[in-house]
Amino acid sequence: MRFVRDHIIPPAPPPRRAGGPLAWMRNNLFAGPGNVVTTLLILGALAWIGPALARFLVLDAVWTGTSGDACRPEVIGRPVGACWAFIGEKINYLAYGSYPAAERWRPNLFFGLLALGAAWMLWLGAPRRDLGAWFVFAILPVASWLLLSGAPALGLASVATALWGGILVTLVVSAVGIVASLPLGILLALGRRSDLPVLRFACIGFIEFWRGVPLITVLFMANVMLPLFLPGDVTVDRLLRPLIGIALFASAYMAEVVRGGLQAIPAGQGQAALALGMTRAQAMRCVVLPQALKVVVPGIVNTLIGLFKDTTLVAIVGIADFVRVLEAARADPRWSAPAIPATAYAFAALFYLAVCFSMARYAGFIARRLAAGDRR
Amino acid sequence: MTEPALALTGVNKWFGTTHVLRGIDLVVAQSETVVICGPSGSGKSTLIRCINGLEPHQGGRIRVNGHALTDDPATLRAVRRGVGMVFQSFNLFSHLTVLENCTLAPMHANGLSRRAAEARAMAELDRVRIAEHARARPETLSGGQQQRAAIARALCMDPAVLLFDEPTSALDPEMVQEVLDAMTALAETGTTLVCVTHEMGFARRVADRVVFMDEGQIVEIAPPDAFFDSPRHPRTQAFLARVLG
Ligand SMILES: Nc1ncnc2c1ncn2[C@@H]1O[C@H](COP(=O)(O)OP(=O)(O)OP(=O)(O)O)[C@@H](O)[C@H]1O
Ligand SMILES: [Mg+2]
Repeated sequence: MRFVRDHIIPPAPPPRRAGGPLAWMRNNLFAGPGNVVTTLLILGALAWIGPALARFLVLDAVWTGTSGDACRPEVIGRPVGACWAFIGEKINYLAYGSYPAAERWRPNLFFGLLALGAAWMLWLGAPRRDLGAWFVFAILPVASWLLLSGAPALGLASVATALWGGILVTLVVSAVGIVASLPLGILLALGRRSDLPVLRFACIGFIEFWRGVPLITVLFMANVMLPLFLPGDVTVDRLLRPLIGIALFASAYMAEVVRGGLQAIPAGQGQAALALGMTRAQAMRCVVLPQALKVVVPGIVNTLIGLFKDTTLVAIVGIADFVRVLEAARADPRWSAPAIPATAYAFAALFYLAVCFSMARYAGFIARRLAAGDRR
Repeated sequence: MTEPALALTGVNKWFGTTHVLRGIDLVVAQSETVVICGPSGSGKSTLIRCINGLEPHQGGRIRVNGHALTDDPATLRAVRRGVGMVFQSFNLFSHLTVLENCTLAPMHANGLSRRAAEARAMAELDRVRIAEHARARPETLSGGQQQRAAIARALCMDPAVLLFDEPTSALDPEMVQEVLDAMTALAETGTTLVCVTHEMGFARRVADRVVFMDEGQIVEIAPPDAFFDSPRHPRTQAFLARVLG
């Protein structure tokens, strides 16, 4: 049998789907018994939590006041939610700890430099991102240290690290962890793939050691043991000790993330570079590493989110990070009221949530862009 | 007498205990085009990859443009700068544009300025007729365009020898010809080509000699007419009967 088409079918519009919110709800919320139960359960949970949260955070919250009395229901005669007046009064302490009030422009400048560095690195279309990398990984650490701890030669009064506190310390610890762990993690990941057995085993040993020890233990070790490894007359700043511990700890995790990226790049990419006469270092730096790092941006950001939250543990070795300062603030007898502890923790939760959620959204945005780039 | 482009003497290679190259002797003259064919697993890719040191060989000698191939990194690089390689799967650097693919090695391995490297790259891209895609990402091009870009990338290093490992096997049929045309043009301008391919028509038209490999050894070498019309070795005859049908 033979078939020959006698007329060509012109293109037609697609069939119309039933529209409108009702159809959408029927298709997406109430499509079957299981779907209906799930929807109702979740809506029920939201109806239970939502209003309670709204009452605590906004409707019943106290916004102004000068002491704990402003946040006592028996004094003001209405139910009391969060006592934001307390946060408002303590905000400088929460931000800077005991950093001298006259010198607070220095942490502020540090926050600004940090924001500049972050924007330069995170905004993919930013100009001269190579300079940005120098800024973030070389200039920023030195400048921040001079700025915050002081440099009498430059006319900046010394401020002992014992006075630093609050969000300042949390950001310093996180920034050090991030800025140190990326390059160290990359070096460790490369070392782990090296042809030199000694280097390879040293890197594997290092990575597995830091991954196998809980961060709390690392912090205690850094505090107690670091001085043992140094000559007797060298003292290490009490803030620097956990910083070193966190940086090494984070590097080990970063190394594993980067290693995953290196493994995801086809061997042919590096071979093509070698076949063109490039050195192995050039092939790694110009061809394999840029592609590997792009693949693992979401993994890197996940690690950084974990790192950012883990920095609260430095409170255990006596560093006045954000959470510890919050604890100290809420012990103020003038502000003793039943609403204060919940307010303090709600504020901490909002702070960490805001930062981590932004990072997660950024990672998602990058992942979508990469996926779009991969589509044919 | 001038130095041959390639001289392999008694080359042996093992993967673990598998003997994949068994005493390969092959001399390729300057400007010669040699096509290597043979059944799958006969060691064609391995041979090609030994010539530019992507795989180390374990016995015998390989000389490329007068340099003895050793495992010393500087020698390896010197040899590789003179030997271009085109892969079956293109292996274009996927984070760079076509133009950047072509300028990366000249700038880093040969120390060319960006301006000089780009001028050269545009000339080579023009030669394989994809200059209009210079700013495109490799993944936005068709397979045939990608493979021509890969050829241009290799040409930018000014290689004396070009190695091809099944450059058209990953392509849809309608794109095979454009790549073969680019290779034919190269052969006519006097570049030394060593080409693993199953394109027997190309071999017959363009090759100066055809090499047949089986089980890690060279079984027969002959000019194309003799090779296709009167193969001598029974294995060659059997192979040609299979591929030519
Ligand atoms: N990296 C490797 N490790 C172990 N064995 C290998 C490796 N590469 C190739 N081989 C083996 O070496 C032999 C020759 O392989 P090669 O890839 O050179 O063959 P080929 O002639 O190119 O075949 P094809 O036409 O399939 O590409 C095969 O038996 C193969 O299994
Ligand atoms: Mg092969």
